[in-house]
Amino acid sequence: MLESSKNSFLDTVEASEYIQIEKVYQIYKSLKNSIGKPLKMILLYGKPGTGKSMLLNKLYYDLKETQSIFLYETPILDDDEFFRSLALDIFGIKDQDKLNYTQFMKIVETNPIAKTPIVLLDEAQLYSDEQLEKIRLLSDTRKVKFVITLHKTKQEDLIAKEHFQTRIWESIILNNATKQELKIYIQKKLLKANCFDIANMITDKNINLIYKLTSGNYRDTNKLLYTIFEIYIYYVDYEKKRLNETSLSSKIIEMSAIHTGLIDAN
Amino acid sequence: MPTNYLDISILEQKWLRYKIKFYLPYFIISLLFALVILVLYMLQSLSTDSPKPEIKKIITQEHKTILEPSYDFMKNINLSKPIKEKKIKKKKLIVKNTIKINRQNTKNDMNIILQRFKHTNNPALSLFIAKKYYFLKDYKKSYKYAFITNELDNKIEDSWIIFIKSMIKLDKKARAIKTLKSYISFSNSKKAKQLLNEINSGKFQ
Repeated sequence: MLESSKNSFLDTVEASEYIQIEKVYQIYKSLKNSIGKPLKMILLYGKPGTGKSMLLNKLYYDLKETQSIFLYETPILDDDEFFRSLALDIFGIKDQDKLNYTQFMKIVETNPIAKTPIVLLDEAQLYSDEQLEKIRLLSDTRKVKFVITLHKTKQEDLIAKEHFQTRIWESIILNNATKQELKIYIQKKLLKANCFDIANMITDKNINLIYKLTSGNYRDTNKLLYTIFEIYIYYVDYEKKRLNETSLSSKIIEMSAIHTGLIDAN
Repeated sequence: MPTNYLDISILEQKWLRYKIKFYLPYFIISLLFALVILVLYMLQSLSTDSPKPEIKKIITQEHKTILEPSYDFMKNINLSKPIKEKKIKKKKLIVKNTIKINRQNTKNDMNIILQRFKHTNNPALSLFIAKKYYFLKDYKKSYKYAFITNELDNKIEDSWIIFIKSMIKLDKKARAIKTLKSYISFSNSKKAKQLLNEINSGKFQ
């Protein structure tokens, strides 16, 4: 039970781990609707750990059976490799020794596709300016539709501004969870893993402290909760007398925060 | 065994250090606050322990001043006549400025009033006599004249009060309380209630 609780907070971006929260669901619905519109490009942006990758993953998972959709979780920084991957995935063309932008555009022109393919690019801030410019030009042809995610920093805002502003038809921002949303997120995660007793053990006081430490960031929350259960398991196994098994102590949460770096105890 | 990277004992030490660091400023502020209060309290108590000598002087002087009532004015009041007439007479006397106050000693005063009472049987006079005897600490007589007053008019509040007070002084506390309670029950007198409280609390002995 405790192991399941711990593992439910492993920081993964698998669509099966997606937790439906009202606000995120609305964003997802809006994103899904945008896919159906004749838009050139959709931008998803927000601070790290706000669920951009998860949302992209979920979108891919839900549409892959009905749409021509391709997910690139890790950026392909080599230009040639990037276009070869696109040619293979979208048009099924391989055995190209080298494929530059011009050659790829020829493939696009000579291989008409009934339904516009959707390319999901995660961590787009890692692409070079030159690559981003080519992606921009490609989206202008309306032959390929791009959904990209960007971290929201000052520098990345600039990238968005310079390269995509005029092409972006839909821009969706993702924020950290509110306290209530964080509570629902934690409870739903535990219930999904069938850890009902553990879910009941977490009080509002615990949630307040977790929220104070993570500011509602999903990635930080996952890290914190994972370590909380790791520490808890240690006490269950080795020092059960010191453990209150009916509730989660603030001490364990704070110890976990120290371990994960959310509290600077040095 | 716990995972390699998670050393609980080190983590516990770090947590303890963190908690001490977290609460230390609050502790210091509370300590300083308590110290300030203590110093202020000590300064205040030092200042109140030695009052200024001038104030002491005033207090002792105040204790020396004793005011005693004079009953001489009673001679000029003719209690045998109706009250209305008395008032008119008083007014006339004031207008004419003909009041002559002849001071006499208390014994003579009392004799005059006693004679007048024997002559008129006026309850106001007997009440006055009862009060006077009470003032002179002759409680048997004050009891007697308060009783007489009560016989003449049992609605005079002061006669009841002097009567009960005299009884207390004559060590008839139980009877006095009983009488006082019965008087309160039919008169609802505030003065009598206050006296009962004072007797019960031991303030009046």
